[in-house]
Amino acid sequence: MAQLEVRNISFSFGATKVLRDVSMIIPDGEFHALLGPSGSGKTTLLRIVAGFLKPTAGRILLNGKDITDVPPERRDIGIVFQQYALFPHLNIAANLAFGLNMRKVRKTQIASRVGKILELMRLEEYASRMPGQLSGGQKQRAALARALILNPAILLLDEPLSALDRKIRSELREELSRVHRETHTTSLLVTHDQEEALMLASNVVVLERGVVRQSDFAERLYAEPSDLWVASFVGRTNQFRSACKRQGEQTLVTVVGHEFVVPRRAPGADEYVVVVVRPEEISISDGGIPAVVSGIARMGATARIMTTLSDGTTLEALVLAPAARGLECGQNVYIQIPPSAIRLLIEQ
Amino acid sequence: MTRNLRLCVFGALVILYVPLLVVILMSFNESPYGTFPFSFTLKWYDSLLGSNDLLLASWRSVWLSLVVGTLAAIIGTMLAIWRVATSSNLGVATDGLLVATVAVPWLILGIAMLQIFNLLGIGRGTVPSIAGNTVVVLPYVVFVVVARLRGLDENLVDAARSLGATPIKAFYRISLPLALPAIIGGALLAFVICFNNFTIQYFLLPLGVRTLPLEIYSQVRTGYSPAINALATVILGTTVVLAVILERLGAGSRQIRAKGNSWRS
Repeated sequence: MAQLEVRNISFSFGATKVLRDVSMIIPDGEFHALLGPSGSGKTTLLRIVAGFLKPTAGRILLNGKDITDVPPERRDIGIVFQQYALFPHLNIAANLAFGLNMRKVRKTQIASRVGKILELMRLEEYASRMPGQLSGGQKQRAALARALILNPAILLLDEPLSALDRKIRSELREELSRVHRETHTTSLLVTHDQEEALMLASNVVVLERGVVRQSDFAERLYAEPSDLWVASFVGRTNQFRSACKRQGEQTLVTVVGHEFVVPRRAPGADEYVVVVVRPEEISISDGGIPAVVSGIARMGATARIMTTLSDGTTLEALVLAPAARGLECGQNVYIQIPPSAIRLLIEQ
Repeated sequence: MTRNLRLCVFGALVILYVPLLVVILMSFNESPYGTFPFSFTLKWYDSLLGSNDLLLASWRSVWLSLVVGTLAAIIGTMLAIWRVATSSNLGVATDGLLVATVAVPWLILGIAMLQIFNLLGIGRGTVPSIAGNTVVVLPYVVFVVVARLRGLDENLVDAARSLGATPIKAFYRISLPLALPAIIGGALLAFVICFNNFTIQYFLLPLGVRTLPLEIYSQVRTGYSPAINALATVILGTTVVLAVILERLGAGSRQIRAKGNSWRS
């Protein structure tokens, strides 16, 4: 049972406000992510949760108990760092045993627990290797094992996959996901990689310059971004300004003379809204809005097709390779946008 | 171009090492005046063993350098830890003072320290000599250890803390073992510099108490025995051994615990 609550945390470094009134709750056993570009303050928040930094204001609660003033060594929180932070002078087994040694666990018990975690993380053959002799992926598995061996109440992951190359990264992402399914450790992942956040976490908090922009279920974050900044930061979007007419629960918008009845309320009270459409919602077809293909980027299984409408608006479509077969630049095509795929956001 | 460069380097090495080779050669040469033809003998080593003055001076130098090296290692490591942890003006000022100790000629430092000790009514003595030599070698230890500590991943201590180590335990289990090669290296450097330090010892040791540099100086003034060549060869050998140890510490610090799979650090 471990619930983590971040309550109204602010942090200033000199005159710079790094975090402004950030709050979030991770219920027991859930995996949440803190997503933001570099400089958004996400690592600062992680260091506050871990106890390495004191917040300027606000509290950190673990199972309802205030731990803001508890030093890191008594917080029962495990951390995995981007650069592994394995102790270079100790072999892997000794690295894993470090926390148990600190807790004065008996030697025989240490041996059996180290053996068990080595097996869980498939690191048995590396027990007596030094960290310098391991590959990046192996090091990060060892770092994860070192944190998990203590069965921490909370597991903090600070950009754990960012130092790894593509293939190893996706392997380790699976590994993290598997470990969470098996251990149900309440986890907080800090990352700038939206795919990582969306794939691993059930909930995502988007942070921008120390402010929470949106806190939502992972699917909703992508499908229903709360503002234009989130829409642009998470995934790719097409955005253009459009006049709108409010009709109860529906909204009428116009795209180069074509009217769309969008089955949702327009935000704000302005006559104009920003129409937001994900590239994968747009399809190339035999009828619809006329457009000219202005660029094609084929990426194996998928292709990005840039189209220009008669009023000069550029729309990007993401289609599967077969749908892009035979298309050429300069070709006249028609594009279709399902009205239900349109999101309406207010201008900023 | 590269060939000329190579010749220059070779020439420099010859100038550096030929005198050393001559000293070694002469320590095994029969002639007391360093003249040829070369005929092998160990009698200078024998006379070295019989020379109480040289042996006593050597012993004094080793003893003084050991004390100074150890003190410098302890104080220097403490200074280095503080220096890495702080970014205060006092820290920056300390850097300046340490650099000044290296930059100011030992001659000036020696005279200045002697005057201070005279003013304090202490005068020359063993303790002033230990203090003076320690001050002179301290910067080398601090610079070496600071460089090592700054090079360590700062997350290592955080990782140790999150695994249940108090700040003190994290220091003893993580920072100290990782800095140890640098601390030992710094101590050896301090030992060697102190062993050589004629100037400071000349000013601060009690009159008539001679360490090796002072003893050799006084012997060379009155008359030169090839036993000094023998002693120089012994010292040279020891220095080479120390240099090899230093080199190993620098290169092999990561392999220190590569063997064995003890689960205790």
